[in-house]
Amino acid sequence: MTNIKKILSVAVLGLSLIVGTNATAVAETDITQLKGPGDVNVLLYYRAGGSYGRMSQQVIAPNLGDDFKEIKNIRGCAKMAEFVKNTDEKMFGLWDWFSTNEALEDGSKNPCYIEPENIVSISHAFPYRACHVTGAEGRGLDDFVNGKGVKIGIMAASGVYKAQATAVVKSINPDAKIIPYSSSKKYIPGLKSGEVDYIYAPQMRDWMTCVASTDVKETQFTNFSKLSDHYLADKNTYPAFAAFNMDMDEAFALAQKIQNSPEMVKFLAGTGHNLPSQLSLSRAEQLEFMNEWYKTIQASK
Amino acid sequence: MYELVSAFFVGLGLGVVSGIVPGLNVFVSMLLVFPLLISWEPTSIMFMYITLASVHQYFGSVSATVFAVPGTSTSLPALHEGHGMFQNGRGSEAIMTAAIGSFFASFFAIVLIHFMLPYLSIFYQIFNTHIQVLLLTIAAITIVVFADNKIWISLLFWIVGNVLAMIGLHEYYGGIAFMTFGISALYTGIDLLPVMIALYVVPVFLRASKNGGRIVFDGVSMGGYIEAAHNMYKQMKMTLLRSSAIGAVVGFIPGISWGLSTMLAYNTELGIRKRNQQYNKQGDVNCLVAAESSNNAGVYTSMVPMLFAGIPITASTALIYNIFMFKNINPTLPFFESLYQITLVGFGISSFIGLLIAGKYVNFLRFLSGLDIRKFYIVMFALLVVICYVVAQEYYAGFDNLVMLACLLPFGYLLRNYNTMPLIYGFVLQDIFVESVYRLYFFY
Repeated sequence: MTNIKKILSVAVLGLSLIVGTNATAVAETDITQLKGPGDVNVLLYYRAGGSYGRMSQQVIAPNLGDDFKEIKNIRGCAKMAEFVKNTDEKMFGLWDWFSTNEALEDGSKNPCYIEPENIVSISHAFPYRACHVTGAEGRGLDDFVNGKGVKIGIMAASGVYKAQATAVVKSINPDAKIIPYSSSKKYIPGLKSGEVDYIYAPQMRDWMTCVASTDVKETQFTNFSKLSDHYLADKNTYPAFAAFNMDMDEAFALAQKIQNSPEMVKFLAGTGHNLPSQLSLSRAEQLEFMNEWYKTIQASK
Repeated sequence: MYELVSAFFVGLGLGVVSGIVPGLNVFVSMLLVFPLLISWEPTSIMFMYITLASVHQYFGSVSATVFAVPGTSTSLPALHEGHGMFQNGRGSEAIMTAAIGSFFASFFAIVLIHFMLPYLSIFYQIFNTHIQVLLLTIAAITIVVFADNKIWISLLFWIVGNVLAMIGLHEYYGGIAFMTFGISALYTGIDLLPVMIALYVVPVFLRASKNGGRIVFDGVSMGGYIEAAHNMYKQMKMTLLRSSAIGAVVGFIPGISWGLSTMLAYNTELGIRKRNQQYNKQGDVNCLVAAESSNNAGVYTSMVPMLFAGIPITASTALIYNIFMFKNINPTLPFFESLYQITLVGFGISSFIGLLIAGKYVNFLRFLSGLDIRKFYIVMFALLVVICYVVAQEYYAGFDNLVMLACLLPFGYLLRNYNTMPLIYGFVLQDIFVESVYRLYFFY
């Protein structure tokens, strides 16, 4: 009996370890672990499981085709900025240009700063929406606009997003109390607990009712530009594609290929992000648009 | 069905490996099999996750107790008390008692969730910043008061932990670069692993090596489990209930979840044991059980906000949520609730098999018995240095971690006669504590 128990235990342990090892082996077919025949690296300075990480792995890398070399996953934008300045390898990927452009509080240059010439184009957009808990008494568009002391949670992952959200919300309801959160993991629970009455953020859930949006394509919601004359009231946030040691025409063509790919369609459907109308503009016009967005934030501070 | 069975074995295998290897936590393990997860059905993903999380706890506890290797910051109390017991020839008791406590707490959390479903909205109040600040403050005060140091020394450790954690670029506060000295590697802050190895594990090794001696370790047996369960029933009922309840409730805190619940349950037990003059400085089994049971209860309750409100509050549940979105599954409440049953089945099977396999692993480790303790710690330290490098090298940061470890090691040597747990917890909780206090300011 004891022998049978021992044999069974060892068999289960062995089987688990084999499957576990195989799982890791299967995981090694994960594109982050693979090397392709090409010469273009995908830059990634976000965690692999997040939205930018997933887009790098599931959308950008597959669209490079035979040009794909490998994913360079480097911890943090500052180290990545240093890396891309010192390498002669071709690098392409997502860059949160609005955040990394921002000077530090003491006025010194952001360590994640990259030159505008390395920005290829807008990648995609994520709209901001004003949402409250469905069924919450007294909540709605009128309350969002006119409510005295209503508490509005905003995404404030960096100074530039905090400034953008604050500027738009204050232009609509100067009496609102703005509560900054560093991530969706904090403001979504905050809304659920009732400590804020609304969130002004890119996330929607099925238990939320959203009343307004910055995106003109989202016609089911009131556009913020109807509530405010602020320049950013109908503007989303726009992650960018950046490229290093690449011909910018080649990089721009690659960006367009990615945006038109089925992988991108699938990614956007799963995140609530979208492709903005500005993608029809030339590269120079897109950069000008982003610059204007950014300058407006600086002016409103 | 085949996919479900595969999910179980993948979860089991990864749970074993991640429990043994420090730095390979549940989240990182899930990233390793990300392509598999993307291809699986939601039920298989949940089944794999619950198996992984459950088995990881058992094996993580064994590694902390036997090798003094903390898989994560939540293993620190297990390391402090469990390894203390191991050093004194009570390793088998530590492992068996912790395993039974963990099993009880998991079961407690599942039953609690089941009966509290109609009243879950009450628990969502814990998402409130005010309550979070209160709980974090209690955690800070208790660790400072009850650690085995003079209070001012523990307070100093807590502050130093906070200062170390603040190193880096803080965009949330408007772009403050704190003590980065223009070094790009410091902008992302310091990793937990070099801090924990240099300032907590090394002092433990040094203290234990001082007296020398040999390892005494008997392994575990069915009879031993029954005896441990009997003793716990007689002597630890309140400890188990209290810690499981703390773990289950505090596990709701977004971002920190069972990390804080472990600390609060451990500190509470520590305070009670010290007040009653029952605390065993050579490794206290009640405190060990308190930490392990709250940890396990928290693992299960931290899933509840995702399952019943569509709100992921930990990195692992956020990853699962993202996978569902990527698969174009609309993550509605009825959808999540439909996964609840598979979660229960996963818990039942993985808990029993996890216990069984962990027992076999523990008995395999009996070969350590009789080894020179100094040599044992030298080998463990060398292994930790390698792990510290390898884990971070995935992000081209292995060398950064080694430099940081080298810089902190002299301080670890100097602090060898102190309990540096307040420093580590100051480091771990700083981010959420400071942000919560900062956010509180905007409410008034």
